[in-house]
Amino acid sequence: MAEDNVVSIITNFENINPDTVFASFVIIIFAIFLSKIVTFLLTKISEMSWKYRLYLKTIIPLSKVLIYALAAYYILASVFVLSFDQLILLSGLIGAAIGFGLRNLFEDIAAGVVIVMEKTYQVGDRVQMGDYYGEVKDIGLRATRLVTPDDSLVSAPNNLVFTQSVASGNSGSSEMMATLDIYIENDADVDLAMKILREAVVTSRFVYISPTRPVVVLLNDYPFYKGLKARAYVNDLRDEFVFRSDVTRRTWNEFYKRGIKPPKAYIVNHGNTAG
Amino acid sequence: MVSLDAQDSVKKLVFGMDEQIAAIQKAISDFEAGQRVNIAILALPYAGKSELVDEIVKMHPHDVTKVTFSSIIDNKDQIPLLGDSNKIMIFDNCHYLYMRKIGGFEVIEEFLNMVLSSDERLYITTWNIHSWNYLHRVLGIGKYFPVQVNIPSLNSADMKEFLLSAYDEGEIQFVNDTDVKEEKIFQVIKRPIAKKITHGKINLYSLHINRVALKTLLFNRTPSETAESIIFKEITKISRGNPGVAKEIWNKWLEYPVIRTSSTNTLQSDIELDSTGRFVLYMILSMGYIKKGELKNILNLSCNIDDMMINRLLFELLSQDLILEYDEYYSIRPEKLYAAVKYLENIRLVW
Repeated sequence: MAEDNVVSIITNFENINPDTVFASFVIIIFAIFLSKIVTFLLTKISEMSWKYRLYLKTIIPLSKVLIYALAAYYILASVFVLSFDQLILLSGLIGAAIGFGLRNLFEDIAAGVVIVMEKTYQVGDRVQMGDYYGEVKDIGLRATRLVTPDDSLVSAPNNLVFTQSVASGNSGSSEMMATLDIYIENDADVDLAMKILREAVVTSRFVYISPTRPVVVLLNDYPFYKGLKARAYVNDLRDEFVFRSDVTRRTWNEFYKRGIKPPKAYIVNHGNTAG
Repeated sequence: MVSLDAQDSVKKLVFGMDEQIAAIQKAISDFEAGQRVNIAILALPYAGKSELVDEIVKMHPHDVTKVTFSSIIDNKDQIPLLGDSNKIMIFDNCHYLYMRKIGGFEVIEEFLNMVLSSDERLYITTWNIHSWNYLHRVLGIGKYFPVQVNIPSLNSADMKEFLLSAYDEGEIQFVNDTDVKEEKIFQVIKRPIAKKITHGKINLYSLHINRVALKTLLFNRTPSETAESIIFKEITKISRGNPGVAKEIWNKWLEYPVIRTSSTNTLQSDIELDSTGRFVLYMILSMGYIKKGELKNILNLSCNIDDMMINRLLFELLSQDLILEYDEYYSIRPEKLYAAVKYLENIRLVW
């Protein structure tokens, strides 16, 4: 039975003529165009609705996978006229062949499918992948494109999700947590400083506060200075850096007015020690 | 405690607020029985919160002292001292007790402290709902006012009664001048262009959508529906049942003594603002009415923008017909209120 199928496949492939190649080429071009149009439309619609932007963008990679899968199926089933059994057999053969030859490429594609299905991260998320941090612009079948805060477009292979941990700052939500550290002199009025920092955060035009998204201000005591850490959610993750800058600027303006000064000592990078 | 006559007069003057008045009356009765629960009345601009508390004052003329804030109180000393012997205190427009800037919460904190510390008084307060939502998340003010009364939207029947209460019966003529059955929903319109230059026949084709006919098709408006019904349905829908907004739309559409169904075909325009412009719009929305100087005071500190920039932003909002300027006060244009709320909700400046 399987032998017949193999023979039939070989016969079908032997019968490939310019028309078949042309038809396949047209289908591939059509799939690429359709994928581009769907991506463009979904991106446009999602940008119109800030609230549901990320949910809509989730559909983009799914629709791409679907379009390309349908195109491949259509080429094999209609153009090459393969039966279902033959398709299964062919995909097995292709799988085995590429398993040896194009392992990395297909590892990336498999990872791309895993990312789409498992929603490891989504288009619009702020993620840390390997050495890169930025907003996910596109999840392709082979690579994920990130836009870094410096506006560089980074193409990171999807298989990084198998080999490295990937951190998503917002995990599908429009808002994301932003933290900022401010260091003050050891003998500064700490209560006043914490009050000012909190007010700077809650009055920012970029802040988002809800019962599950509270504003937290923490204090850490270091040998030669004190560290304040504010944790709050920015209403749109794209404003993460503007939010930090806005809060820092207004906090320091008020600190100077109220006699709170920065420490004279050299500040060591404490990482996440404030909590 | 309240006479039936008094209650009847309230029903005539304050449309669709029976439940809210009952809730406030119950809180007042409970207070007289020894249980104090302070009240916050929450509403959007133009919804009638001040009218509601005026009716409460009318119902308890000898027991109530009313204080109305009409501009931002930026100093604790400006909060009126409560030397009055009345036990029920009404504070109207309490959203004027804070400013969204560093140091802008001192007055409201003092006010809340006063509310908390005076056990012998009942506080009835009114708030702009967006300021309330903000302050509730920032300061948790809901704890100070356990009874929160939201002013409801009027339905089409109440809206009709409210809008026609100022006229005699039959004074207003409702005219149906949109025969939707015969009108096409989509029409291709041909416009000749550059005729003088080309001396030829070059036409530009555009698609025209008849919104009234489309609405009729979408909302299954029956051809037999009266002009009056169509107009009140539209006003209620556009104003979302907000009486103040509805009144403004009514005044705009009314060509006394005639009002036409074709007036309902109003164009909606998109709002396009930068992040600072959005914040200015939010500030005006959350305050209801705000003076230019107050706006400058908040924005100078919270956005670090100068007077010239503020003037530009206000000009932009005025030119997009989003706000009104009256006697140095800025407010959201009533007919644009819900478009502005929707826009700000969408970008999550309104929570």
